[in-house]
Amino acid sequence: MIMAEPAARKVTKEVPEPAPPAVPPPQPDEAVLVKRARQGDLGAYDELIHRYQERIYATVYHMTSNHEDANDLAQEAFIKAYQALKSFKGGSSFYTWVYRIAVNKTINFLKQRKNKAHMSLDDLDFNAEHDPELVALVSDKTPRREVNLAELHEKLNAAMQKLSEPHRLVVTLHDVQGLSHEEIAEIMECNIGTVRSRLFYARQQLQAYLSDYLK
Amino acid sequence: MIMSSEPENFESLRRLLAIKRHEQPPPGYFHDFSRQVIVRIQAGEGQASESFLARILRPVSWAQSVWSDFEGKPILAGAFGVGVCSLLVVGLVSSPRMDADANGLTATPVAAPISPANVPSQIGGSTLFDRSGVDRVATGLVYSTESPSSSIFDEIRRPHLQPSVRPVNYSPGH
Repeated sequence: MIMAEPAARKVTKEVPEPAPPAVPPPQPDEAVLVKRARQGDLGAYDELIHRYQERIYATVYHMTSNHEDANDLAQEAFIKAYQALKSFKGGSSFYTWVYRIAVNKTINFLKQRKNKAHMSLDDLDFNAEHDPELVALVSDKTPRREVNLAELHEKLNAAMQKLSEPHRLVVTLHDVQGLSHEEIAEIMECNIGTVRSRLFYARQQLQAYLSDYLK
Repeated sequence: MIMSSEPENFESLRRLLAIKRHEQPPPGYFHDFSRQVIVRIQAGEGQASESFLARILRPVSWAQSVWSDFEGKPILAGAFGVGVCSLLVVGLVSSPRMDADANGLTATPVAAPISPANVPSQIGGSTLFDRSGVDRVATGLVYSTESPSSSIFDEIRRPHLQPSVRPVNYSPGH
């Protein structure tokens, strides 16, 4: 005798249960990774590099406007951080600490390079042309309608290069990378008021340089 | 350059700055980044574990490592600068005292000076005691103590102040 299957079971057969959402493996805490790296575990340090490489690279890159320089400086910052890991007291996050090393290295580098500046700005990625905000910015918001994204990009970078290093750094960290005033103050080892005033001044300068391209 | 009428309104600028978020390194760049860093760390591990003495004995590397320490820790560089300046200031402050001490020594004669009045001042048409300092004649050796303010280097440079042997009973024509 064949028992009729309960309706509920039928349903479950016809519509398979959705697979449980893939739970990502828990990531080790930063402090744990730092502790392991301090004991010489390069695997742990590799994980730390993976976490912050893009942000560190981007900051250095926006400061130098040169891919090769950004590559060297970002690598050197991580190497320096590893060698100095024993002196890292944990007063700030590892992330802020590495940032500080990278920023100091970059500013020293820029001082040495002062009169030998050369730009090798990378092209914008494919997504830029499809970013609705940027498309709107070019087509609607710009007084000079004929301007294209590439030209705007070029003008923006030229304006950025006119700023002093501390002002460029503040704009990069806040307006491009989205760091808070507190984080920037910690990285630049200054108070929040200084960060705010530098940001205000830098924006004013940029606005003046780019007035033709802003509404 | 025309400033915006509302400089505090940076919304358009912030939107424009968003372009920079689309600047990306070459595709696949970050796949190899950490490996390169780890390789460089492994290559440099020997240097990092080197003894302090070994670092000192290699002056170029030692200077480089000190420089890199300064780069990483601006406070350390500042402290070093303050230290150097303090040494300089201490040196400058103490140097007049040393001069004063030196003056005191020269002003105090070890032996009773022979007055120029007791010694013929004209010998062979040349003046022996025509300087402000006190000359001494001792066993035929004439040497000079120049005025205290003059430098020791001036003493050396003047050929007529070099020690010279002259007979005490020298008279012209003999």
